[in-house]
Amino acid sequence: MSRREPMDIDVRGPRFSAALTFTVLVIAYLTRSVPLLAFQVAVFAVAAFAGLRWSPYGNVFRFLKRRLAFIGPPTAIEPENGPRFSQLMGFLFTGAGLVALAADAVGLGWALVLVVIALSALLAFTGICVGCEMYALGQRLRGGAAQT
Amino acid sequence: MNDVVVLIAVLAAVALFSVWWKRRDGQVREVTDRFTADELAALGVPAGSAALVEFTAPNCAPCRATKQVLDDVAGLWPEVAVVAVDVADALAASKAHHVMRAPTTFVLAPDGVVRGRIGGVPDPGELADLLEDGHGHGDGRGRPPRGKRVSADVHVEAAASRSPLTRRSGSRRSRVA
Repeated sequence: MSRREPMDIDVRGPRFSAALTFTVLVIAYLTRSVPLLAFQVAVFAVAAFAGLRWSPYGNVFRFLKRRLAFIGPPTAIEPENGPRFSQLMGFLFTGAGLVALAADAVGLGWALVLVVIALSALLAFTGICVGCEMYALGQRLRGGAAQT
Repeated sequence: MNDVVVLIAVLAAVALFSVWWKRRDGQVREVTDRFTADELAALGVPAGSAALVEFTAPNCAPCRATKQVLDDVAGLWPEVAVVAVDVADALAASKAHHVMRAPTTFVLAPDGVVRGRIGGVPDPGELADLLEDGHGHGDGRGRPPRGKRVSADVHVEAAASRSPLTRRSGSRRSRVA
């Protein structure tokens, strides 16, 4: 188990990112734009694998925060693990969607995208982070698999 | 056109889900469940003690907030133990009691009977009500009478003299002041 301290992030960052994700994916879905979907998959990949420090949307948020005084200081901070796990889930679902589209399974591909649209809407508009909540379930499944 | 309809349907489902979730979150649910003596020992719950057991995830912000609420509320009843255990370190118990999310808190009577179960950051007033009365005020489906919620500090004076979750074990704490 790694003991490295996770980076603490502004809790508003993931919600802002989710709003951007939601917008991008809705446009991709409505225009059936595979390149736009591929762009979002890449954004998820960077945030999930390189860490939220490198998250493109997170950096847009930090940039705006520096420029726009009214955004103000963080209302609260949280460790990055939960949101980062969510980014990984986003990557897996949209990535699978992209693969499905490439394999001509159009219905399945956009259905997977709709799942991520729903989850990002949930986070953006209500603050519920399903990926964070599922961490426990993930641990159980992983632990269960390791035990057998 | 069809796409728009599907999208709207998905967003409507999201809205319904979030309303349901927000109503459930932090509310005490009464469930029929029991921790065995072995489980309690493995979790580090002192024998014969009522306890608030929180299943946590590492670096989870709501889990930290939950621990704070549990410590605050349990502070009113010195005989109530507060135990926080990582889901990964208590996989057997997590599975046996169907812990699907972190934080999940169990309110346990001294004999291990589950008096309440809370997903998310507990409502301090409801938790205090449960400890005070030995049973929740909810209808068992996570919907307590909304108007009746009180904040934890309201209970500070009334609560300390009453014993949590039935078994009084003779020793009335000298906290009555």
